[in-house]
Amino acid sequence: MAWTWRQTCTIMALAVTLVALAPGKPLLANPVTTAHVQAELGSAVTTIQPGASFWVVLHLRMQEGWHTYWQNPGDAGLATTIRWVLPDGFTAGDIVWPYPQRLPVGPLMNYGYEGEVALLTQMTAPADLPPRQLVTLQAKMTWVVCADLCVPGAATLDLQLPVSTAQPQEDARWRAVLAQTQSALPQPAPWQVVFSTEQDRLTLLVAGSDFVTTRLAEATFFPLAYGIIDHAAPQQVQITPQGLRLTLRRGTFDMTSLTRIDGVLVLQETRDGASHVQAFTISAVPDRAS
Amino acid sequence: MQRLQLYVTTILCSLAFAGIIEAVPKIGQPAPDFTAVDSDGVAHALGDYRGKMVILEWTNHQCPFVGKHYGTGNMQALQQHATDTDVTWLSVISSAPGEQGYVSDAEANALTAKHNASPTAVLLDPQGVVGRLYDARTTPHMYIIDAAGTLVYMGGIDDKPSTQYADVKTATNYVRVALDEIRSGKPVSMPVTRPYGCSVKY
Repeated sequence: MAWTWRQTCTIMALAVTLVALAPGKPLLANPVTTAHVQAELGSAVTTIQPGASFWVVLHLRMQEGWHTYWQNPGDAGLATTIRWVLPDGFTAGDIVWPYPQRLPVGPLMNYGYEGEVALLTQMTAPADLPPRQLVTLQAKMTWVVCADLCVPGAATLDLQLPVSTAQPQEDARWRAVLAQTQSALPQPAPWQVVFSTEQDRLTLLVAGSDFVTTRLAEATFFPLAYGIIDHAAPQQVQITPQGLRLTLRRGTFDMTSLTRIDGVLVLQETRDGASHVQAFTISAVPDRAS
Repeated sequence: MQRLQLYVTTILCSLAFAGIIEAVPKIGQPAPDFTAVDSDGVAHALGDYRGKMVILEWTNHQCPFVGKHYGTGNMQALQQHATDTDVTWLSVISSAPGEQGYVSDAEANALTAKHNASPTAVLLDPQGVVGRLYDARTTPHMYIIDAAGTLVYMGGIDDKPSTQYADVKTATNYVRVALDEIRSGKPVSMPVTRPYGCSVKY
């Protein structure tokens, strides 16, 4: 049977679409829009000054009901990753992550983001960067976006910026995104934190006298590593004369030789009738008293 | 009678508080006993396999992480490697009806044939009873039970959490390593690892 031109073209279009949608086939553009995530790369400055550091923003917008993941994705899923392809002399820092949300999935718990999230990277240009028309910063990224199903994705995003020895101008749009994200970035904790384990419990003691029972609405600990806590179990918080005590359910990993627990502590306070959330990076050491 | 009830209650409460009465599987402890029906309608109890090693593999054929291991033939090769030496391999599907990965008996058998998989049996666990008993969180999620019925491994299939097919070849396959160690009479060097994949669709 001979194919009609129409049949042939339809089949070819279908094949191209299927190939384009196949997992692992990166899409090249900026922004990149997939079924459940839109990814866009931006810079806080409009020009690159030789020797200067500047913030690059990877902005993800998820379809309603879908989420992407934090550094520790929790029980399932995978953290978003960025692999940079940069011109000679450029260096990129690790992703700076806004604090995550607890995202329950049945009896399981994931750590990640719904709605939108800006993942920040600090980029540094070499001091001997010659004047050039445009510099291309390329981000090869992978992610997993889930609702009750999971869809892995990958994209390559290009950011092109001109080089100028003059003081860089701010990019208004991305500067605003950066400002909005700032309050969600974990700050170094001003308190010492110790941990102890007993049976199936992990206790964190945050030493400080500035915790007020009537103000603290919620405290949540997000460990960086898998297996430290049961991600889904409720977390209990008490304010004691010594400070904040968080009682968590232990995870599956053996902690007998653990010398440090790193993570993010998110505190929600009520002040003047309004809710304030602040995240802190924690590095807990074993409680010598236990 | 009242005093006896008090004693019994106190003992039970103490045991619960001490974490002895708990559904969480623990390495070095007896693996939780279960009975489940497979895709041929045959009932299997863990106790049936005392004297043999048992591997439990949580799966969901529509999960891209499972797809990585079946698409590369990695899972099938591991199943063959295990069953060739008299290890019982039980694939478990804990997807609830209507959820991703849920299959009928016929569908499960068709998938096994299509993938050239060789589990000893495919257990259908739509109520999630076995899944919850083992605290199975992802697909895949792997458990190894030794011939004495002790849980000796639980966690991921390998050390490269991703959906990239290419990662299978360069990954350390935790299950293969554990099997080799057990067969050589050595203790399992990495008894607990991070399981990765899609969430189990309870």
